[in-house]
Amino acid sequence: MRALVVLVCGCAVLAPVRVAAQAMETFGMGSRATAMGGAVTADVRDFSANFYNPAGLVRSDELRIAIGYMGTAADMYVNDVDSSIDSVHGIVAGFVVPGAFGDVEFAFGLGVHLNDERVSRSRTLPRTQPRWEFYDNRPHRTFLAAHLALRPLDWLLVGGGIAFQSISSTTLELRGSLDFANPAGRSRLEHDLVGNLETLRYPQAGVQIVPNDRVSFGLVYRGEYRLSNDLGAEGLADVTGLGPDVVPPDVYVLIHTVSVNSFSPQQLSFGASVTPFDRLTLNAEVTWVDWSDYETSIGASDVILTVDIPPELSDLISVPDSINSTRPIQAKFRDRWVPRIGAELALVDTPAFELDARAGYLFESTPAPAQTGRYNLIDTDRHVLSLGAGVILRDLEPTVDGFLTLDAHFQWSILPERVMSKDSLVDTYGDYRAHGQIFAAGLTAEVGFE
Amino acid sequence: MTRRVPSWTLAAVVLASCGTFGTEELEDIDQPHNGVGPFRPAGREETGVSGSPPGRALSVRQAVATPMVSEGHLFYVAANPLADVVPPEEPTDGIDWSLFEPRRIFRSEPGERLGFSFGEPVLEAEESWEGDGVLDPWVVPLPDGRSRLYYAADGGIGVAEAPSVSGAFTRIGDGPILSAEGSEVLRRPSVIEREGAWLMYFDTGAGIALAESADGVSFTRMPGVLPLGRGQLRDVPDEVRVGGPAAVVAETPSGRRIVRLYLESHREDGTSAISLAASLDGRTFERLERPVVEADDAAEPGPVIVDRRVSLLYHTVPRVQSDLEMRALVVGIAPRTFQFVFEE
Repeated sequence: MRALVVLVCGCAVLAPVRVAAQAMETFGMGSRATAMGGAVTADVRDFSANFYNPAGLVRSDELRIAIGYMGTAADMYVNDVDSSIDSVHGIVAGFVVPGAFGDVEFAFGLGVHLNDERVSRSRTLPRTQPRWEFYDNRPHRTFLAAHLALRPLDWLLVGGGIAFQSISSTTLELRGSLDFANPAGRSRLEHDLVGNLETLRYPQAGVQIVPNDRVSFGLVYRGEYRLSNDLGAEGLADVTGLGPDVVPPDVYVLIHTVSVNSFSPQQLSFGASVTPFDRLTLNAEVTWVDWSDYETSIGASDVILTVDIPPELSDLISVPDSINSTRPIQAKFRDRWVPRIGAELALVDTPAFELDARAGYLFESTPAPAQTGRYNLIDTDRHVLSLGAGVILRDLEPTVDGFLTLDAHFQWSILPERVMSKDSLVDTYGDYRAHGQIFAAGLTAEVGFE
Repeated sequence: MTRRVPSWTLAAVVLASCGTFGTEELEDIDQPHNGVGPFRPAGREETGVSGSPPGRALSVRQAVATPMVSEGHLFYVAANPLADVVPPEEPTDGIDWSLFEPRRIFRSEPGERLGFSFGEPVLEAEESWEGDGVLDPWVVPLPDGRSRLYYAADGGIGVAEAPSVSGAFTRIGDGPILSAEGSEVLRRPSVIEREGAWLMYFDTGAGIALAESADGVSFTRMPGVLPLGRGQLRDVPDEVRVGGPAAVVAETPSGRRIVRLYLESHREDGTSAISLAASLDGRTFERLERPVVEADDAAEPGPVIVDRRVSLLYHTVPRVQSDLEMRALVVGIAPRTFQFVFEE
């Protein structure tokens, strides 16, 4: 079985897997980590290490297989009108396969978040339309990451790997004849449509330092990725139906739009975990997120239209000399620092059974500046409170030679009101207030084989 | 070594995988709106008034003009065709009021929907300075429940008051509160009260002028006209002049109080469009370059703010009845996605 897992991991790293991220960046991955506010960079050891810190994969020596389910319900408002933000719900799963090269322990890990309803959603909105920049479209991605971790020293764990996204690139070609008098009925146009989901990979790497059983530190780096929608349409047609004495003019049109559909900045987390006494674990960490590198989600477009108008039709048909290209204004986001804290308390701890209670908090200041101009990339600060519980069943012989964990979490995101005042008094959307809350919950089951 | 994977684990994986089937639903999401249009014509089910053109809000045989709504009541000018009128052979440029009886100001009671039934006259020309008609009503509710009616007539702009919006209007004073200077003709008064000052916008024929008052009755005219037109704030193509102001004060969700001044943009071809300018102090404006109503030759705006997002714009569009050029009173709704639903 390990050989199979290694093969799958290898294929995952090398093959152009067409999946993308990133619900867990907002709502967490796995119930234990989410319940602790995501502050697990220093002590993660289950399948969620594939997101939080790949070094943690080698922290335990069991073969672990996990599967879970999470869902959200958003309650977001602009001017007290429900923004109808789609919920996110999907499967989380992964495994950790430990091994050893001589004295050096290693582990492979694979983590996946597969949203229900859609593997990935691309959406290009009208340029000025208000959109919740972080919650409207961004979480609707599938996440897949494969990692390898090593433990070269007893107190040093290192891990790294690759996560996958895909870029969509679509071209449409039109050719044929376009009837001037009856375009719907007599035009004869053929088309070729070519769509590609091109693979995009980005790195993740982490370290855990474990000087003793009561203290550990973690550092993880996640690379930047940006998903773009690239749509090109090219058409060449004769215009017919202009009368017997008119030479059919050629019409050539080229439309090309590019937009960033999803962007995740590079980020660096540093965390610490302490166990002041046997049943209590306290975690804290801070994450730097490089949002200043974000350009914008608003697309750029270029249009070329060429029509050779016959002289006898020059009064009838007017074609502009050129159509201006559109270029979006930069989003001008700021970097942000995200503090997180988490706690885990073993309420019951026996050789056969353990019951844990968990709590966590994180704060994300909005990187989005006040939207005073034409564009409306809505975001507010976010306070996230989380609670959770987990049970560990250790006496499962003869069914399983190992353990079974069942974890549950509940997460409450509070987005306090933010008021936008427009520079222009005749702006289409005008001033607005935005606020909301998001509820998330999930269950995760993990089986560990000794 | 063979490991045993519990069957329930496999079952969970299969069941969870089935959860990935789903559908994509696209919805029209209500967005914030700043009253800048485009206003869509209200549907028949929203107005309760049948007939064309789209958005018709008052079904009458008379010529009507300059609608505005105050406290749910519709005020407008109406006049019957003369009994022996002979329609002109050539189309006229707008309504030829010489073919109609003297214009009077009418009031329609609030209806159950956005449309109205034809009402009763509340003011007709009686004073010598008023000539043979009163027109361009603009009604402002006062804090004590009274209503104040500003109107235009031959000699300028006059004012009347009623104990309530549905009461009888009585003129204040013997003459106009604002008189024309030289050959100009003052029309279309629109009055707002803002931070203790009363601001009156009116049409001089050359543009939109401003007068200010401390009590809403004694106005001092500011020199010239407001720089709202072509070559001043925006270079609006084909615009000859602006006129026909209709002002409302809108409080935005951020707490700012913005003066929205709907206005007529008169074009070189003789048609007009309704556009908008906005201001924080009521004196210096920012102009919108595009029309807020898509219908051809829309004019005579009468805005109503329903709430912070939804606005109505009563206005008129051309119609021909009995071979006479008239205008139909219609209502538009912004944002376009908003739909009024009334119980049957």
